Amino acid sequence: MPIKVIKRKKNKSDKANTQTSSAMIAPSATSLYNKLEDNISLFATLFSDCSDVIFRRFQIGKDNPLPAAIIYVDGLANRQSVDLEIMEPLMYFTRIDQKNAMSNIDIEIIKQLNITVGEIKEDQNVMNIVNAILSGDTAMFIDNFPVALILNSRGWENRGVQEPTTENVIRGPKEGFTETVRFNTALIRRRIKDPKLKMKGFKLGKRTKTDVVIAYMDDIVNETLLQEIEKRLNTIDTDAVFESGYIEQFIEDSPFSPFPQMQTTERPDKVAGNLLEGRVAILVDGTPVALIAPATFAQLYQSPEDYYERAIFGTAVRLIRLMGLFLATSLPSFYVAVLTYHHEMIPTQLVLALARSRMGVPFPAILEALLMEGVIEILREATTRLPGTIGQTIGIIGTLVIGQAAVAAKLVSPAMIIIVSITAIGAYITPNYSTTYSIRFIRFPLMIAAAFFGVFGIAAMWLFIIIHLAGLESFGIPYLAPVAPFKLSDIKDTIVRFPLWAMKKRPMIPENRNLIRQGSSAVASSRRRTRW
Amino acid sequence: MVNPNLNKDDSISLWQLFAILENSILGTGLLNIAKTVSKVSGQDAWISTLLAGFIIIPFLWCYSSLSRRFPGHTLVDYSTRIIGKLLGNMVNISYILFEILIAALVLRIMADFISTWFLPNTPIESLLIITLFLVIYMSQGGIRTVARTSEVILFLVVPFIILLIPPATRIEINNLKPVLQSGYVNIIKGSIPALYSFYGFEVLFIASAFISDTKKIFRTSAMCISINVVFYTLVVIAIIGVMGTEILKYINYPTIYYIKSERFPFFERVDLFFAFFWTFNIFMTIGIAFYSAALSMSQLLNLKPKYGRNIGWMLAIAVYFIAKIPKNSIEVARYMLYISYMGIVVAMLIPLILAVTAAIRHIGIKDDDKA
Repeated sequence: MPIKVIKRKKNKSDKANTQTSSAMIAPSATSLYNKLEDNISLFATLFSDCSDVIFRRFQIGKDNPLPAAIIYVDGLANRQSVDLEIMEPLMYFTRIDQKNAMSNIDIEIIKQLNITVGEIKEDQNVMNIVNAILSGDTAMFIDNFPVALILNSRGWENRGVQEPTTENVIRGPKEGFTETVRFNTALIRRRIKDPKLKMKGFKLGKRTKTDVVIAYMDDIVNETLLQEIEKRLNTIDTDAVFESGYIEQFIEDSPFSPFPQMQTTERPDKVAGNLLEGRVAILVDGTPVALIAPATFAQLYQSPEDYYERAIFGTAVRLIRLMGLFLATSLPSFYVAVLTYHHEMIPTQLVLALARSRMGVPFPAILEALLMEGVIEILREATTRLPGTIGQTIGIIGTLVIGQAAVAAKLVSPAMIIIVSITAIGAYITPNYSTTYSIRFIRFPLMIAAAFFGVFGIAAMWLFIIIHLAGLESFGIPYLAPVAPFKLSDIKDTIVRFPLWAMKKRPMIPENRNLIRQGSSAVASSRRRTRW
Repeated sequence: MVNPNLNKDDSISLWQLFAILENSILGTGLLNIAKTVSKVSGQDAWISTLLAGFIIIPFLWCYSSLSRRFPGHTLVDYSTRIIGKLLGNMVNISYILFEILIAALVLRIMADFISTWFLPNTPIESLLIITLFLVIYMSQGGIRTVARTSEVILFLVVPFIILLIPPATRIEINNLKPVLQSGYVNIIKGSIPALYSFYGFEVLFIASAFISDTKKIFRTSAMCISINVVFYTLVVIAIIGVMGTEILKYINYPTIYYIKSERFPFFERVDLFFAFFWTFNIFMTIGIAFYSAALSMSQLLNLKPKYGRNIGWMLAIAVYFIAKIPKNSIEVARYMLYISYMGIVVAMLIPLILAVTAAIRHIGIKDDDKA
């Protein structure tokens, strides 16, 4: 299926390019001067009133000192690295010959300087140097030399690799992404030791100049998909990219759909697995949340743990999740519909039990349902923002006390409390946090439809959702794939989860190349043949 | 020659064609087939059903022949080229009219059905309007949305067809005897109301334009129709076998009563669940007919895609008022019979004439390219 070309923003992209390039041009000069003092004053004007930018003049060598200076940002550059790997060797252990010292210094000599830093680049463009300094690199200038050396000294305080907070697994790696994109790429690289794993770097955001990395498997990914993603990324014309959500919102296909069209994850193993299925991951500096595109609806109900546990339970868990989705979205609306219009739809005993529990409740079913679901949403939002310990207390007050008291005061029926609890818990059955929003807020239109038109309203609303989902595409991939369009071979990793040895081919839905994933494992196939 | 009205990205698979056909055929017909057919041919209704189904299959070949001659083109594109501008446009208009009538009538039946079984106090107009909004929404998504929605709905419906099995254990074979008693003439006459249940296959005029593998259209559609023929025949046998022809005269939607006759543990009213899920299917019948009409209309008027999407609003108003014409269910049944007759012309004779004329005159896309 050809990839749908994104139309919006297209005409803006030309303008965007010119804007960015004009912003890149420095107020004064674009290249460096010969004299060290001129260079330092150039950067001093650029970084005026920036107390965190450190200028340090020093002499290279002891015998015939050569004036030099370094510029770095305090806190972004690793101070130890600046002290011990740059300054110390240059100041104490470097000898510059008399004849070279002033006159014919050239690039070879500079490269032979004693600098024990891993990565050294040369640059003459002022704006590039500024960008490098602001990224944590150290820029070194030498007298009579119109080139700056960019020494990699990046190292700042950061949160270490921790267990991800959203997508917990019982069995499986406990590592999660961090806020530093370089660590995140390393976490992926550690799982896929293959030179075909490519990590393309971008800078997005005119002012934040956020590092964005797109990761993909060169020989698996669909090239059209990759080009489309790069194209969409290049159309982004914005000041700031603080989180991967900024990028998601700029490049998704249908911004007004309640369903996320990209997967978000904090788990490197999930990213690695998806890369090997031919998808593309977008990692953004400053956030532990990575994007994976394209996404399908079925994927939002998959957890890496489905693959770590044995196949039957992987399947069982997926079926439970589907059930949870259905209950979380539709249970309150069925409650409303049945109590308002169709008492005959459920068994007599159950109707009687429900009627008894609702005795004395002053509200009609729809009001009762909206009230309780509304309260639960308020509680949920409040507990998410509260500090951890208070959050728990509020949770207990909210759920136990209010629930109990509301029933005792005959404001709501106990049955409603049960339904609200099931839906509240069921919304979180999806391993993907962004999806819980869609589940939570689909409920309300469904309830209102049920209040007006009973089960017909539910059917109509569900049809609306199904039609919407059927029309939805994520980077040209149908959202409901592999159910619609139907692909039998992909079903074995959708609603059910086949044993790993049975999944010899990669899923076809991302339209990857290189379809064969593995040969049939000898142990597995021989076990299947053995009859005891 | 690229057809300007069809997006070249839009193509559907054979399985999607199957799903569209199945959804288009399966609908209100199932609810009432036993009643309408047994009215004419008594306990031999199942023979009429079988007959009606197998009459259709040769005509499917005409559709597939046309789509092989004009791959990527719909009825509106090729009708005028085969039989001239005047006749061709008459064909187009009658096709659009037929689809509008089908959509309107099925819509009406659905609204009646819902108001009888679920919402007796709700005004029928509100049900019509809501359904029409959904139908417009779906048809605006184009063939891809229609095809994918069909696939999803198809999966939803399969488990509910299984509900038809348990009551069948109480078939009394005597209800079906004596075979052929109603006479050959009545059996053939009975196949005309039976045809109503199979209409929907004329969507091939539209849907086959999106198939790239035109050679397999006949196989897929014939398979689909055969499955339905067998299915409907079994349903008719089971309903008449369980209830007998006498009762059928007095009840509407006998299929629902047939399911209701079985007691399931805990869920006492399975018929309501069946009815609930069946509304999805009826909706698809309306939606596909409506989409066919809307697409053909925009092609006939040569509208740009931008405006073509909005023609649905105009058609929806027409469908709404047509759906309100019948005063009661007896009149609805009469209109169903008219539709059956009209369908013989539109869904069977027109493709036959077009295919034969095209074959005799050697018209097709490839011939054009050579010239």
